[in-house]
Amino acid sequence: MEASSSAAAVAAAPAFASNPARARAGTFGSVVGSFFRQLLTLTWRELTAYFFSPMAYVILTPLLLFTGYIFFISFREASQQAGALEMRHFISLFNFLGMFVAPLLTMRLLAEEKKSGTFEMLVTAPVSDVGIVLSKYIASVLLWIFFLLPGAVYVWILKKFGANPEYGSILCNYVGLILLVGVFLAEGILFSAFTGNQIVAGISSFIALFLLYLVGYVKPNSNWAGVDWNEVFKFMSLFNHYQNFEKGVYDTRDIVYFASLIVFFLFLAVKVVESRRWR
Amino acid sequence: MFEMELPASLVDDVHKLGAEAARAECVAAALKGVLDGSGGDRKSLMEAALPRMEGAKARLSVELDAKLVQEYQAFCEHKDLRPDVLLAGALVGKLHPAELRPAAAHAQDAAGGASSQAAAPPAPAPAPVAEWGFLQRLATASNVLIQTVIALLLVVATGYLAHRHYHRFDGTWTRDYSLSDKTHQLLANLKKPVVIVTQWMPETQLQVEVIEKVKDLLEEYAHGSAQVKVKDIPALINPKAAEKAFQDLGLKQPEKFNDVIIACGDRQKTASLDSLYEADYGGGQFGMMGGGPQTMKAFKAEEALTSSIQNVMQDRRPCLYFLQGHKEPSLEDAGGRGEQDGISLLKQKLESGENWDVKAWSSRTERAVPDECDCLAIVDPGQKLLPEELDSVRKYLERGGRLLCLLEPSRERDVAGLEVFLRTWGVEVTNGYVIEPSRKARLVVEVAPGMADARIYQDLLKFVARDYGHHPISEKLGAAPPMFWQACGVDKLASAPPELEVTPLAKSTAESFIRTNLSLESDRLVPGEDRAGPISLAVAVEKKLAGAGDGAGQRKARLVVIGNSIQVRDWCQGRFGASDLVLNSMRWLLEQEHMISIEAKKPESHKLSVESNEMENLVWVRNVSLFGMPLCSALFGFAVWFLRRR
Repeated sequence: MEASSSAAAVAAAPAFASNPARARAGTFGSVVGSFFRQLLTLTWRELTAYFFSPMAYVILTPLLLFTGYIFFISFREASQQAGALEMRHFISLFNFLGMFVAPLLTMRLLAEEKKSGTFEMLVTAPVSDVGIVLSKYIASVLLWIFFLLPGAVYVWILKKFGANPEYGSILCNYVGLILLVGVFLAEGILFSAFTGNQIVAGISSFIALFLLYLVGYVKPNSNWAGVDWNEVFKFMSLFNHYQNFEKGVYDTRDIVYFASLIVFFLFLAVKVVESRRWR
Repeated sequence: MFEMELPASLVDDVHKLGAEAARAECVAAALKGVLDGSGGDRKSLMEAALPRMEGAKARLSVELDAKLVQEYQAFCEHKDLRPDVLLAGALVGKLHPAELRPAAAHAQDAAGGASSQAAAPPAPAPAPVAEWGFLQRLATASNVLIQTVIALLLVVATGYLAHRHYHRFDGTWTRDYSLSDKTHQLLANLKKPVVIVTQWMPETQLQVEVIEKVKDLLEEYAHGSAQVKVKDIPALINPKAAEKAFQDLGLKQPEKFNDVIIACGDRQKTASLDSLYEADYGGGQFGMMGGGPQTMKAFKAEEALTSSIQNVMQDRRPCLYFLQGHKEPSLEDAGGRGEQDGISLLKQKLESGENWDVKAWSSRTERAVPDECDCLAIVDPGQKLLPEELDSVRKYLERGGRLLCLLEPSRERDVAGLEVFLRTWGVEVTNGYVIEPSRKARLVVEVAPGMADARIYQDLLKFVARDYGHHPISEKLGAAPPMFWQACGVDKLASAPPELEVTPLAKSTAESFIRTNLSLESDRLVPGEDRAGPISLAVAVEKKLAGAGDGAGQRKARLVVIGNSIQVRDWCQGRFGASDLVLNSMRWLLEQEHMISIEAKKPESHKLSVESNEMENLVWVRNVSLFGMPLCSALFGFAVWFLRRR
């Protein structure tokens, strides 16, 4: 992995470093356009950094091995009993896997830049902090989507053996999975921004995710301040919000919840990155 | 000639050097400094250049050694660096050395805090942040903290608003989680709170599947209206806790699990799990010969639940009267003319399951049919009804009453005197046994060799009707055909007046016949004695009453006659399709058959069609999923690692 991928991207990005429109006029349209070009360049560099290093494959191979094993076992049982293999139950397995994979993907993103010293250069470069954080986030989400793509092979196998998969439900599951793991990744980037040590970033990110998982099981059975706290904790649990997606139902509450958490974590990550300027 | 676009300020500075040779020397020195590292480390060079890169650009043209230029370009290409940024940094180092900070200074900045900054020797060009005082830092930190708190509040507020105003969209192609428009309409207009209580204890895999679907459906009901509360009381909690849970809800605890209780105020209706789906019995014989249902044929819970909600919301409970006093089966406990021969279980079912009032009408003491009677049921009277009593029934019907008659063949012709009465309503009752030799309709298929003829003959009297007429009653019988045992024929009278709309509901097969000579015990059709099938077993009659309104509001008399009464007997309750015919008839008589009619959902088959002995297929799936895909990924990873290593 190129240690200073983003810093190199800064040096290599013609879009923002030599953007006459931005320098001269600075109109809203050109600023936005420049921002997105900058974002695109940085994201592309992050993504290529993922794929041109063994990192992505080191994570993907065991992931495929594990899901392939579960799929084969489920398939064998279903076929021997002439039963149905519900793809949605299989896909939902990925949300637990995401808890382990997300910290692995994000722990290096900012922590590594700090450790290698390229972070200082990155934050002093004419790149907005939002652009830095967002590009890293988008790249990690795209990588996660890439990890999910082999799932299409399982659907194809089911179709081949006449299982008639429910495509609407499967699509909904994938949307939910991208949103859920999107929260994991945003939270991972936040922890990566806090520290210069990848291991610390990864472990603390996993612990935080685990706590968010456990919060769904907290049942204080209290109505303190006239609030049903069981419902509050249930609402806070990430995995409870995934259940509707697992069934094949899009619920605006779940979408808003995931989206607001993603925005919140990324906002905090930007603030942490910014803090290097004044701390 | 070496040309490159650089920050205009730098180009100006280079031009200020004067002669062409001096300029070329400066640029060459900068390039060499980059190549041999003497001009500063890459990071410092880029950092020095970046603040200038955003400004206006100008073209720098100098004469340089082509070899040096080539070497520089190759260096940049190899290191994946922009030549202009690097050269700009190098020129800054040459022309403005104070702006170039070595990498060590960055590391020191990162490691040390304010105190170490103070202790360290002063940097040549300190970053602006270093000039910030404590108060400025505190103000910035406070600002960030406030921003964070506001962001957190926004997240909470957004979540709260989203929780209060939300939409759901069923993403499944089969619309598994969509309620019908009728249900949505009903839920939107609910004025009173409705509580739906369940207590699940599945016993079979099929029940597990059905319960899962019912739970999902109930969740959609709860989302459909704030008035609907769904409560699942765990079956495995201790009995006292369960009892308390029911008490808290103001409901009577059901005696068995797997019922859905729908309650509104003091009214409640129970829908059994079996009524929420149609089962496919596969090769089994209607559950009577063991085996039980294997798969779900249709899921009809929405119709049942929506009807139940509508039922408990009604202002007045329908009132059913059962004629008593002529040796009819008793409404109280098992009794009447023999053990388990009563109809007490049916009464319970109608009261708790259908939310109807069930009362007895003794025509000997109370001559006229009570005014509050919505439907009168006459079940197999063992004594003749007096002409005055029949006259009361006639008058009741003629004022728009509803009558359900369940008859049995008897050795004495027209024991109850109803045959003549029913002829006036277009119904022909044939006093005899319907005998059904067809294997597809018989409940007992296998007959042991040497079994007595009498037994075989008895078995032929026990059958299910497989041929239904087009009528709201029979259309809903679905996969649970009603059982008949020693049934008599009930058909449309050939000379029925045209104002009577008589519809046969169920028929025996063409192989069947009816025997009016009840002393014969042959299992074959006796020409001259028996009448060949198919034999009609039940009819529905409707008569529009003159001068009593028009169109939908027109009053009408309705009558259902069934040639058998085992469907309502206690000993038959809970058996396959036992009371569906009777219940459907009662709903039709009370005009509740169209209250809610929602098409049952047919579950999509997700079953795999892999034979268990087809090991080849399983090996293929294993190779693809377990080995193929991970191996591909590993090979890609190895290739990347190998290429980068080179």
